[in-house]
Amino acid sequence: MKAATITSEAVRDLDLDLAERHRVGDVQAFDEVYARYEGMVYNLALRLSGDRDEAADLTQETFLRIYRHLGSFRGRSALKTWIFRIALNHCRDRLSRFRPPMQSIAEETEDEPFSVRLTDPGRDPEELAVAADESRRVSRCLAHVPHAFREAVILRDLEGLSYEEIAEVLGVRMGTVRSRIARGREQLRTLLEGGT
Amino acid sequence: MNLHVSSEILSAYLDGESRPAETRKLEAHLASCTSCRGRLDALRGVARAVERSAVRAAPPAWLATR
Repeated sequence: MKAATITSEAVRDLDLDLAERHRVGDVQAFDEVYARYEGMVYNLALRLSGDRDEAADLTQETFLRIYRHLGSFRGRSALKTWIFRIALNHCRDRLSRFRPPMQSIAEETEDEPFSVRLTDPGRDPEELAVAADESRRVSRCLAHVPHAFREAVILRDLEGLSYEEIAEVLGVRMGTVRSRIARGREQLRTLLEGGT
Repeated sequence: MNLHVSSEILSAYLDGESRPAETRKLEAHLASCTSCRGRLDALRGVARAVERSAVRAAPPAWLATR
């Protein structure tokens, strides 16, 4: 338990150091934040929007906000949850204003299959194609899960956040997180078994 | 525990987020209930499917070299 405490304190110190360096004009500080969290923010935006181009735009816009506000980060939460909160709020805001969410990873044309974007050199083309099919199917089903449950499932199963971190990102109680993840998974299970 | 376990407890257990008392009761129940073991396996499958579905979706190269 003590080791976990030391680790979280070390992470907090690193987070605060990055914010301070950014505050005083060290450009490398933001590059480090970007390199560390770009993939996570992009994947979150991709699953919430269902569109790669839109996810790329959302990622850029999220990091623009992070750039503007990183100097005011005070470490009341971990930098990771602070960034996810900014990303999630931006995705919600943009997607609710401009179009209904989740239209289309699953609906992409066959001449540009999802597999060409997969980055796993250890797998052969057949395995990648199967994985791409499965990924499309999960995306299609996730799109039918109510957004509150979907967000919780994505933050847990895709981003690997703890329930406590998810509660911080979503601004809800731990019991609500538990409930949303369970209901989201149950609905997704029904959809997957139903062959949607 | 004679009744079946709620999805919420099964799901939290899967994530290592169930409370100690829940965990003890659940594990005792799972030892004798094939139905709940099956539901736990199904939830585990869903979680893994989501995990596998996206971790390899890399951002476009232009985004990384902005």
